[in-house]
Amino acid sequence: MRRLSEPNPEEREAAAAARAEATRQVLDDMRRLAQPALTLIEAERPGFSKLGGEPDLPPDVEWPRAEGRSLAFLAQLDLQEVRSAGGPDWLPREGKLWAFNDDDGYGSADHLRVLHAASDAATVRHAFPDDLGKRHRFGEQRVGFRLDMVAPSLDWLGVDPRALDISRLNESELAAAPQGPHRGERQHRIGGYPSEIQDERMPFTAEMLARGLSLDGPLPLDIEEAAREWRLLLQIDSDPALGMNFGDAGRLYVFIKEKHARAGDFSKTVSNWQTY
Amino acid sequence: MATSGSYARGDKARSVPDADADAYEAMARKQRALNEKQAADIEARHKQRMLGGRLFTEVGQKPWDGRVDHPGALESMIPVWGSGKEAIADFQDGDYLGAAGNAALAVSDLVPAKAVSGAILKGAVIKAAGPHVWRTKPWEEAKGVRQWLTEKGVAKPGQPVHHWVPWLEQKSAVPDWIKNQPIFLKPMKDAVQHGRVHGRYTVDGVKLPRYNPAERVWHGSPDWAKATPVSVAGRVVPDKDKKGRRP
Repeated sequence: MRRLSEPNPEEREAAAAARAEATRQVLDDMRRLAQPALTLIEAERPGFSKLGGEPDLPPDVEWPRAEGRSLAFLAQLDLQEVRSAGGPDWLPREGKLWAFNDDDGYGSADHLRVLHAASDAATVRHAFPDDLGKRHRFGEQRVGFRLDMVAPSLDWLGVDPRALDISRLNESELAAAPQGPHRGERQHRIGGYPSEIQDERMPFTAEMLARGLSLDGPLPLDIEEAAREWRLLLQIDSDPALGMNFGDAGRLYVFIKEKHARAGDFSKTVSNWQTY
Repeated sequence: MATSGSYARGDKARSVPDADADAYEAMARKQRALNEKQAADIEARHKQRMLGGRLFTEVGQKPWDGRVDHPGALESMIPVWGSGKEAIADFQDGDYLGAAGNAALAVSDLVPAKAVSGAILKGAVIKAAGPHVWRTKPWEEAKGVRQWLTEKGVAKPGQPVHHWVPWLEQKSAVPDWIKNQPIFLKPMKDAVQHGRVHGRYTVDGVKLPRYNPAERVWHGSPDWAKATPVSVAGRVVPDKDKKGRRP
């Protein structure tokens, strides 16, 4: 005997049609929103850009600190190198960026601090400060860039995969794409979309943190619209080869609004962290 | 004064038949039998202590008088039943503290039972079929473990899931098919709880400290993992406490 809660054939057909429509919309969104992204790989011709080691900062810039402690140096990037490798067009064509992390500050918007200077700014090697612990002194690797096209994840789009017809996703051209946010390699990245470890709609998180709102609180009415402005500036993965470990093999993410990036204003970035 | 008996004889054998000899012999046999039984009982109790306590209580030796005996060593290992019976027996003995502890233990037995039975009902204790990677592309029909947990109803969409087994390759060579098994994963209340297992975490501008080691174990371990040692320890310790209290 059929239970009352079981859908009848007509209801099942309607549900399948709804799932097919939702899937079509998601595929359209993924295609439309796919962005160029640079994966940081070992440099063939070493330039300014690198992960870890000691930073080359302008002489008048002091090593960033928080609560009296020196922060861990993560990376420095030459935006000329980034743009010439096909990096996101919302990044300035020139300038230099440095990223420092405070692993005591996870959960706050600025645990990852980004410094910015003009391309022609002179730089000098800054030695590790004495108070910087060994586990915060990362190995150095000069990096080059590989251009990928990255589609947003279902988390980024806020889609529950249970509402989709996976067989239709599987037939899409995205299925054959060699690049994507779910590769198994070390995922140091500029632009595109984040590779999430945990389920989280990161553009919402970025917007809430930027406004100083509690993540447990109600979502602002304009959150969907506002969240569209956020771009992934940088993603740094845990990297055993360099001694980087964020939580337990976690990842660091830095987001910036497109208008701020285009204006060269890197003072309004928002950082996030996820781990296993 | 005239005396009689062995004192008077200077322990010399009687020279005349003793009218009480049979009665004395009967009494002596009875006493020897009683002594042997007591010695056997003492020996048996000693051996049982060496084995870790009494085994199952003997049944049918006497009519039930309404009292509940303490469980034997094996019986006490039965979840809920063992601790529950111990709690009742302690209460009858006036050991109210022990009764409360064992009652709590019996309740704790229900935690892993509930957790495991719930997971079993969902078919989500072991992910036998691959892939065992954490996440897969959304268009792949064979789901990674995180997506699979959502499908099975073990973790909600958006809920952080903590890896009980450390993930990082530089510390551990634990393969995916082990560290990503559902029995080694702990769905967390929220990102704050997950964050504080790993380190300090800031909430609304307030920097919260990292959980202490006990809290990390409590919040970061699957229910079955944290309840099992409590249950086992809870059974071992009271048995030692009871030594000599009851025959």
